[in-house]
Amino acid sequence: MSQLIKYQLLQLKNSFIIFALILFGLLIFGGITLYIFADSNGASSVNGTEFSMVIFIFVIFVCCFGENFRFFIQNGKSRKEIFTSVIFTEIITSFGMTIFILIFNFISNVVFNRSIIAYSSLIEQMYGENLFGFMKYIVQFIFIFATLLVSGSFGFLIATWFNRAGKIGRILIAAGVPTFLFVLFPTLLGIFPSLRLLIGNFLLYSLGLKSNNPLIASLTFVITFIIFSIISFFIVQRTEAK
Amino acid sequence: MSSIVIENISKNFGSVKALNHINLELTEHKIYGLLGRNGAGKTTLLNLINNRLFPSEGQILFDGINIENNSSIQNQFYFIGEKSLYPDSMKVKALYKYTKMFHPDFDETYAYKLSEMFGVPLKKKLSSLSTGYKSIVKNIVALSVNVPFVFFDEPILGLDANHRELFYKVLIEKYIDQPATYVLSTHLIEEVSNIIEEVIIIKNGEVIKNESKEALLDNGYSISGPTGLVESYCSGKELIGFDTLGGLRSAYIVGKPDENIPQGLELSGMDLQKLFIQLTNI
Repeated sequence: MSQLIKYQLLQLKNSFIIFALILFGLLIFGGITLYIFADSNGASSVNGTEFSMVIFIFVIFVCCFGENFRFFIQNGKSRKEIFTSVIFTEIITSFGMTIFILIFNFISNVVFNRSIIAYSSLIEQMYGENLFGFMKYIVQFIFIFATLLVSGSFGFLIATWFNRAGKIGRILIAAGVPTFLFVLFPTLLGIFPSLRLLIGNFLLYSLGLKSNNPLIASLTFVITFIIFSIISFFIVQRTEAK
Repeated sequence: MSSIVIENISKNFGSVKALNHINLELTEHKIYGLLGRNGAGKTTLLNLINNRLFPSEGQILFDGINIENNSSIQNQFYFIGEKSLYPDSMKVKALYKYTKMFHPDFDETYAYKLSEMFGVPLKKKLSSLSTGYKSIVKNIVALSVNVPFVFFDEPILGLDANHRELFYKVLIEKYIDQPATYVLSTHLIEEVSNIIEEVIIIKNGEVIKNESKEALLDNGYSISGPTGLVESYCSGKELIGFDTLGGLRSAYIVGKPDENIPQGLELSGMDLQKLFIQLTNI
């Protein structure tokens, strides 16, 4: 098992380094540009790093599964072992990236003087600043960790589903999932106000936006991570290596 | 003595029955030839043994334990198939390194020695290798991994005559030095017939022969001569095929030849390829 986790982390290492370099590059470039051109009354803002990490972790778990799965089967690993190693890799990766984000946010706050440029993290954008006082960093850690975990597990689920599917199934997943998420679903919300209200209320409560509590969102994400992982487990168990 | 027991295995792909109630036993320290025509079911059987596919019926046991999704058992097998499960972007050197990570008994020194013998470019990505060199790299890994059961599906695909000769030589040396069970599935029967000990022939998803090469060849012969004489000789015998050229006929018969062969007829042994062709002709 440890060999599988080590292998996956080694494969992710280069991608993460490149991504981190890009982020720091943007930080430096953005910082210089905004200092030169920004309005001095703090009308400029910088944000989106956590969200980019969420997408990054989703993408890496979508892309890596197929190749890794086949290589592990080649080396005589059971599907249960492969699944468990991916879960542990997700947890380790999410933990590491959470630490990175917290450090990055800290540096960004130092770089971007708030009187000129407002740097806001995802949790501050959603729940406001100065939340939980001295517990702020612990709450931020839990929130970011849970967000990355659910994103990685969603990527893993899509990947397992895609690998298991036949030709038509793969087309449905590759085209259908984005179409549903970005076209059909918003359209349905527009057509049916009651559905919009229902979904809206569900999101307000499950993401802790109603009570302004990011820990509720963290719990929702962890439960969703567990659900996605269980579904992925059953899919992986019957995936053939072809 | 360790063995793989294949019990009543069937595999369907939709409406196609690729394997039909196969029963086999693979014992340790032998070289098996797994022979069959295109689409007979050889690769499917090897994929089932190596946990890549799931059987529709039956089970495969190793020392009495079901092999399905069992890492401790699967770690004792190594299968190189026509379809590579290695990451395309992986370099040859990295492949050896990572194989060592998963198989502690993998002999990297031996792998590098074989790579030098075959002229393998170690720094190249697997995807950029020619068909022949892809096969060579897979063979090198399989020979270096040091597990009790090694399965080769078309190991000489794309190999030139020199490399094929070298592969057989290296395989025999390895077998003598560190006995293991090797299962070779190939279409080049004439070439492998000198090294295989046991023969398994699959036809239309069923095993039609499963015995030692000596017993199989002892139990078959060829009789040639004028068509009429051959036909009368063959009467009452298990004829598996014949070739006719003008007024001459060669008949292939299963069983022991008569003590007295009629004059005008010529008796000869059957080689494995000829026997295979006659047994698997539709």
